[in-house]
Amino acid sequence: MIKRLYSFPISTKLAVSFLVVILVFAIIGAYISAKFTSENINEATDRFVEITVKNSEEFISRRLLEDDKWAVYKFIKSISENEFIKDGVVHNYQKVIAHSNPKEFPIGKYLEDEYIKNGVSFDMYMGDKKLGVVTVFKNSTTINDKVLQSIKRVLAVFILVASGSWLFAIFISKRILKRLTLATKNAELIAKNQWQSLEFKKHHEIDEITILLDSMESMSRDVKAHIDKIENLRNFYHNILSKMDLLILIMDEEHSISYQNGHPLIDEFDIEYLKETIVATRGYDGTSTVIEIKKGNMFFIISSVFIDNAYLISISDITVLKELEKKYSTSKSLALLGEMSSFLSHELKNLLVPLKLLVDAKNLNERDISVMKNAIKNMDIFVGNFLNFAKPPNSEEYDNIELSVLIDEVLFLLSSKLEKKRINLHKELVDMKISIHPKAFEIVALNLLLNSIDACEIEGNIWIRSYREGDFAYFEIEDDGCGIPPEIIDKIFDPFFTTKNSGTGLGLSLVFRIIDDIGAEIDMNSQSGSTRFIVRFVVKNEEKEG
Amino acid sequence: MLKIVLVSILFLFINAQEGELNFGVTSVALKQDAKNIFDLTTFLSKETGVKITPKFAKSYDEIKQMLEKREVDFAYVCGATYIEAKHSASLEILALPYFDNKPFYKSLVIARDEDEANSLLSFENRIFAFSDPKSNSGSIVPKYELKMRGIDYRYFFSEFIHTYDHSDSIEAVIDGYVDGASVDSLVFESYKLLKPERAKKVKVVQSFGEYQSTPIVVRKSVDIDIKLALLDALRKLSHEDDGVNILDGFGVCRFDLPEKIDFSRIEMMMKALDRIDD
Repeated sequence: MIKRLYSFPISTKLAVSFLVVILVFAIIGAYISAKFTSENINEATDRFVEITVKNSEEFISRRLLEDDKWAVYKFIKSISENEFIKDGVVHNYQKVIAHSNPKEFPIGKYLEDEYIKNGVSFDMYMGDKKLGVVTVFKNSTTINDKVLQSIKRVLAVFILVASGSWLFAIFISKRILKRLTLATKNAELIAKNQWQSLEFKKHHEIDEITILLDSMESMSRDVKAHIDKIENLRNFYHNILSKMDLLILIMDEEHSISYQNGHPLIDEFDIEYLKETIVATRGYDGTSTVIEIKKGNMFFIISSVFIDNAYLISISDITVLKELEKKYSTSKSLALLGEMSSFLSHELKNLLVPLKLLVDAKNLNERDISVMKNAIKNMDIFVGNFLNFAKPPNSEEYDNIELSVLIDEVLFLLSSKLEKKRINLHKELVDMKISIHPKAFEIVALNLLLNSIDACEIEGNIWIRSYREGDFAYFEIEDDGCGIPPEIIDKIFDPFFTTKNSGTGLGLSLVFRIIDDIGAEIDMNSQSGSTRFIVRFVVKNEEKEG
Repeated sequence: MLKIVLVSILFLFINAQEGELNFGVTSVALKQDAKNIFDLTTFLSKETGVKITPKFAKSYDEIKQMLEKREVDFAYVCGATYIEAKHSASLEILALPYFDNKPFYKSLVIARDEDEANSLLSFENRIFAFSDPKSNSGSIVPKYELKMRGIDYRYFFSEFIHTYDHSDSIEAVIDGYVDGASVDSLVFESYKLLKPERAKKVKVVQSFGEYQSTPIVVRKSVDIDIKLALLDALRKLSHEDDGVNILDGFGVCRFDLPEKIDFSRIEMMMKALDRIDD
């Protein structure tokens, strides 16, 4: 029953509440009223009878003495006219002298003991002589009627108050409901995003509901403004993103697509395939990755970043770029081949000049022979370098080579050059092993140190360092020479690029190729007064233990 | 005797000097309508120029004593009382009430409407109400009528009472306190006018008489001019609107002093009963 009441409208709830409260009070009121009325009537009747009879004792006694029955009758009749007294009788030894109901109890009739016991009796004396008895019977029916009347009055008041309360409850609840309905309607409109249909009115009542409505109006306007702003921003960014030549997706943690910029590429990808690809190719930190995939004749780059519990994915079609890259690579190779051919023929031609001059001479002296030997030696070096560039030493079979030993061997080869320029050499080496062909390391270290020696002034400084950080081994060469001009920094690793008169331009490009071949990396910082080359080797497990 | 005469003369002189008269009333007049008595004395005072004060007595015996003691100067009494006191109180008749233009009335035996009684004799071994023991219609007539039939009223009824008031006798019958009663026809008619609904509950089962109507008596010693003024005022009642209302209250059409007045029949009945009482 109570649960059913919960589902009723507020007006019914209020009305029922009013009725229940009034009913409870009415029942209590009726009970108290009935009890009070009954007690009062009984008490008042007893007092009335006692006072009336006692005060009239002398009168009655005298009338009895005079045998004035009519006067006695009028007395008893007057008492009985009280609505709370049913009957009265004056009798002498139970023989009726006057009864208020004379038709039933005429003069002379004898009364039964049981009958008299139901009333209150008062003996009438004149001196010591008992002249008769006055017996009065209370009218319990009338008393009950009065009590009933009292209850009826209370109930009538209850019905009146209840009706008024009902109407009042309906009036109040309608006033409340009107506003609550408006609040509910507006809430539903907000839920349906129908902001333009919201309705706000001024209300006379200033209570919690009006405050709620006013707050709702204020909040709605603020929220609408925010939503408009967000919508505008969303449209703005969507317009930008939709004009980009890449597909942008936002995927939540459950791998559902929550946004896509409408790029036609969306039709090229199966969403499930994308999800699997993204999840399978997360970056090493689990947050970002960039992968290149090929689908048929097309190439794509898929970039994924995990931000705020969502994957931001961009997919670019690089098929055209790949074709351009291929073309560029081919033309670059042809250009390099042309450049190499020209360089090779030019250098060989220069080296052949002394031989061409001496080959037709009839008498060769020792000096000529020495010149010819040098020319052949230079040609051998040149060709050796060229061969090294074309096919660097293979380092695959070389593990756990002690770095400091290799460095010492290189320094030995360069010792005359270092001493000639009085260069101060600073060695800061630790014991560590790397995986590289000793000849390859010699080429790397020799070229880097030769560049440093060339850059240094007389009595300059060169630092050679080796150290480990995590899974990497570092080898550094730093000098305090003139530094590399910024305009040529990007070209120093290009083949045949040199600033030296006698350089081949293959040194640093050979270094770069060797480093790249073994999976290591080279970096360079240079400014006026300082140039530092940093080589980073990946340390294998055996090397770590060594 | 001389003393009494002297005191009477002095009393009369004082009363005449002061211009005041006391008017005695008994149950012959309706007690329920005391206002009518006051209206009558006011009317008489206005007409005579004498201040008249009403004095009420419970019984005829009491009014008789008041007349004898000269506490009242004129009174509305029963014929029997007049007969008893006319010598002792030195009374003369001032006026008689007229009913149906006759100065006579009857004694009526009444019972409840549903009662099967049809005569006074029907009330044997039943309860009966007399009015005043000295009332002609309310007591003397029924007692006399029974006596004429050789019946002693004291043993004829199972119980009898005296109400001292004709109206009370009617009420006693209606209430059922008594089975029957003997009342003045004038009072009964007045009662019917005054309480028509209750009057329907009783019926007349036997009527006795006619008897000379109940007189307004005056002490002979009252100044003749005042007596004449009083008589004129009483006669004037039927000619004035106020007076007619007063007469209606008494149930009579007028007051007058007829040339022939005869109370001998009442006196004869009283004497017959005196012998019984003796």
